[in-house]
Amino acid sequence: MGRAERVAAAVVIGGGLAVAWHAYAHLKLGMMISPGAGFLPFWVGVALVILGTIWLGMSLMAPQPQAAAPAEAPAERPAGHPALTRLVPGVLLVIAYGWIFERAGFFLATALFMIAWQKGIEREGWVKSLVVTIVCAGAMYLLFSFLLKGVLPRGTWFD
Amino acid sequence: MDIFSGLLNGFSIALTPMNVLFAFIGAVLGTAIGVLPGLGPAATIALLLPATYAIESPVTAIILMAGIFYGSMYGGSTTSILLNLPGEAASVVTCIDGYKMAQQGRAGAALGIAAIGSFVAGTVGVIGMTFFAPVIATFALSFGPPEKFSLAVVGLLLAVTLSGASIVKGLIMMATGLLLADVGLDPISGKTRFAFGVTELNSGFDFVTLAMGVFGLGEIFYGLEQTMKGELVTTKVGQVWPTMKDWVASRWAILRGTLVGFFIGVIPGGGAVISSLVSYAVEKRVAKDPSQFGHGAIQGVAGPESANNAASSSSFIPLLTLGIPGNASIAMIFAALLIKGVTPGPFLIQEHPEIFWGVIASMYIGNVMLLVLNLPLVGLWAQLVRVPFAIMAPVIILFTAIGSYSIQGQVFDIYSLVGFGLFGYALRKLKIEAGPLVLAFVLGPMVEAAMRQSLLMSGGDFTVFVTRPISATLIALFVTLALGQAGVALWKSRRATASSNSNRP
Amino acid sequence: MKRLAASLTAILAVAAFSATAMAADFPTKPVQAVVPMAAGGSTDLLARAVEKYWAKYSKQPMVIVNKPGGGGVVGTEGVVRAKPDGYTLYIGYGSGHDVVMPTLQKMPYDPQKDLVAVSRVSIHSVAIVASAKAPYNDIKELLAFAKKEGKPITTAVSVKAGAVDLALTAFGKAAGVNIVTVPFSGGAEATTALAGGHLMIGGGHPSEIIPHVKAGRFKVLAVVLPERDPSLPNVPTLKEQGVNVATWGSIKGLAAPAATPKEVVKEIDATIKKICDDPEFRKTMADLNQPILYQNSEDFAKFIKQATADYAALIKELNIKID
Repeated sequence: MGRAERVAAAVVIGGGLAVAWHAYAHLKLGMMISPGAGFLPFWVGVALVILGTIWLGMSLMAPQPQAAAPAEAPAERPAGHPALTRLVPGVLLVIAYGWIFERAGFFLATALFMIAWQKGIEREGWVKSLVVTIVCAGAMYLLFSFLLKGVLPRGTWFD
Repeated sequence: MDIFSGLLNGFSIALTPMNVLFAFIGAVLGTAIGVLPGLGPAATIALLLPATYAIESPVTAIILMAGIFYGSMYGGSTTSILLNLPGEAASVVTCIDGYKMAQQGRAGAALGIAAIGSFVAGTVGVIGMTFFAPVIATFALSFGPPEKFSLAVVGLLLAVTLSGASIVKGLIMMATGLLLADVGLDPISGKTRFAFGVTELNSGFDFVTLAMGVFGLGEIFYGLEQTMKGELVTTKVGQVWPTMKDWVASRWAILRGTLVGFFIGVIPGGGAVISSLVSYAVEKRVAKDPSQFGHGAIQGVAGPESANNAASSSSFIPLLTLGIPGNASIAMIFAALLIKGVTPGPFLIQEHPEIFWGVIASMYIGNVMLLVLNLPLVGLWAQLVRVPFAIMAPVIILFTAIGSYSIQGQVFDIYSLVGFGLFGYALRKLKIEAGPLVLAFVLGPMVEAAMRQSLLMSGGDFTVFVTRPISATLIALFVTLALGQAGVALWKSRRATASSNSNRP
Repeated sequence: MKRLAASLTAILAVAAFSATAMAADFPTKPVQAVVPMAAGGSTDLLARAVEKYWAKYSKQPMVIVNKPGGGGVVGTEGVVRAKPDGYTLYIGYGSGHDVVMPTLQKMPYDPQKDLVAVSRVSIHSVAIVASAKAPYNDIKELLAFAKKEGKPITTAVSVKAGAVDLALTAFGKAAGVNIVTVPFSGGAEATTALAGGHLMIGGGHPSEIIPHVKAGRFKVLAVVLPERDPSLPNVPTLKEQGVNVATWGSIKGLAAPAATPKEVVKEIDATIKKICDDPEFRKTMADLNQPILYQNSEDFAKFIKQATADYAALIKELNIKID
């Protein structure tokens, strides 16, 4: 926790500096009578630098609560950290879904996403994966083709 | 229009079969997503926003969304009590005593008092709204840019300070939300900010995408890493009607919760989450035996669950009279009204009485429906928790992805959704509340525009914010509140050091 | 846009043999009309009215798609890049981002070269209004009042450097008074602030202000058009009141991608003309307080050119810049 918090505080400080600089240099602060486009971003950036510094200071001064005993490490940890075996593939799958969405069309993309999720992340058997995929993708197809008629892409691969 | 004839007219609209049906759908859907952890009302309304295109009448659309919003306040307590897992943010404090009660075999009483408290508070909230909203609307026009600026800023700061979490983190979230809102075309100077040549960013981030990413997707990403166990409901629900003793113990808590909720709901930046936290604190303070709290005190369930319902009703007041959305869910309803070509604001009551009174009347009806839905069927709702994560997670992801795509028909929004999802995940890991961020994103453009308009009008004179009576009153009110809070905190920290409120399960 | 275009490839392949044959058959599919503004705004309302009567005069329906953002640029750019086959149209051609913005900033496309004008439907003029309680009833009294008070005239406008802002700034310059235009985000917000008495005057399109005038909240001081606005026939123009300023307000017409076949453009234009002559459509538009000022394709193209040039001259004269 402690380290993550310090990194986050550093990101806040860095981000604040970047925003304040960009606002000052490119957006213009304007005058008192008519503050420019950069007025608010500049001061918000400055505020972020100050707040980030306070946060960093607080997390540096806070006593490290039993640094040796990570309460978040449960015993039922399977092979590999779940962040790597589940979170990263999950995020990548959503990005892939976005990439394929207009190309393969809404229905096929949804079905592919579902089966990839069941097999790749939940490691279900083929039968269960297929059943879940067909039921979910079918239900979503019915739901969305009713709710969002015409808005969803039909796919550019098949023309 | 006279209040009673208005309300009568409202009932004639709300009681048409179509509107009753949608109020019912909203109530059922709201209870369901309130029960389901990870899917809050803001995200659900966001998902349904594109569907409002398909609903012809604006009243019907708003009735549906309002139903989801206050319905979720009923459902939220269920998993808090049964599983120590808050169904949505406004029921976090309900976990503390609710789960203890369930462990003591009094789950039924906790669920029952939560439902009854919700009903009483919801109904009182709507009655309050019926009488106060038209009054507020009459002086709503005197809210010019300086007043709007003060109101929005005070609301934002209250959201940060009242929530009881770290103020520094809250302020950082608020600042981040303000910056995210700045992306895109600046309406006042006509300049594009922070778009860096990306055409899709010229119109800024979409609020729905942001909310679904930070709340919905962030929660799923967090759950992915936790390898969720398919925990089932093992606790027996038992008798849901509270005993005479429970009743006596909680009736004042319900009333206090209702009052606290109603007033906090009216303040922009207030809303259900904060009101439940404040109500819990109030109950603890007035209790004869505060040591009971944390060990299954029924007041600790009755108060906050009443407060969040009263707040969910009263938070419609600033929306419908001033056109100011006070919290994330209300902001969604604001967006839905705009899509329907209705601008919420001081003229709403006059120009669209059917919307104003129709929604109010539907809330009376909806609260009755919810009581009926919740009291006898609470065991059934608890079953919803059994849908395995392996199915729930991808379905929610698909909903959010398709939902954000459909807003503008661009894949870019799916990518920004993922970005916000990762951001929400990081916040969850760092134990930072995302509420101020989302609220600042909504109120940000208003804060900035109102500030610049005020300065243009006053010729660059900053005192405009303190020389106008309404604006000055608002600022004075906030300063008093903040000083009072600081004083209480100081007094408390001197008095006791042994309390460690870990109200996060 | 891509997906629609792609799904039309098959039809195109056949149709490409003869453009005339295509025009004769046009349309064989629903026509998508992009409104680059939010649903519920005055342009959207106009588009919805056209959509409703389109079905009466065309073999295929019209589907309205709102693509708001970037002040209208995002949606319009989508039309510019769409397949030029007449199945993707743009409703709202002549708005601020077509005739005002190109003078002020770099555009991702050329609103005149990359689009072909189809027909003009309406003009949303700029009207100068004041709260009904204000002590002035026309421009002369307003100017006298401002002189007496010695303060700048605070003015609510819907958006910075839009048609309304330009008209009011030009008015101030020509009348020799100090006008401070306060931009809001959209016409509705600007009129609400004006109704609250927080500013002295405001500018708006008739469709936005007439409901307030009817409700007794506003009075109209002048119209900033060369001639009187048909939807406000009793309100004198600025010129009539001795201030020599006139602008074109915001123009609302249809356009298509530049390479759309002439025959198809003619066909759509003919349909729009029939709609504009329809008495029921005229009534709908009157209810929306939007005057029907139809022009055919060629005239409309010339008109857009003229309006852009006029605005460019005005912007130069007023020395307005966006940096």
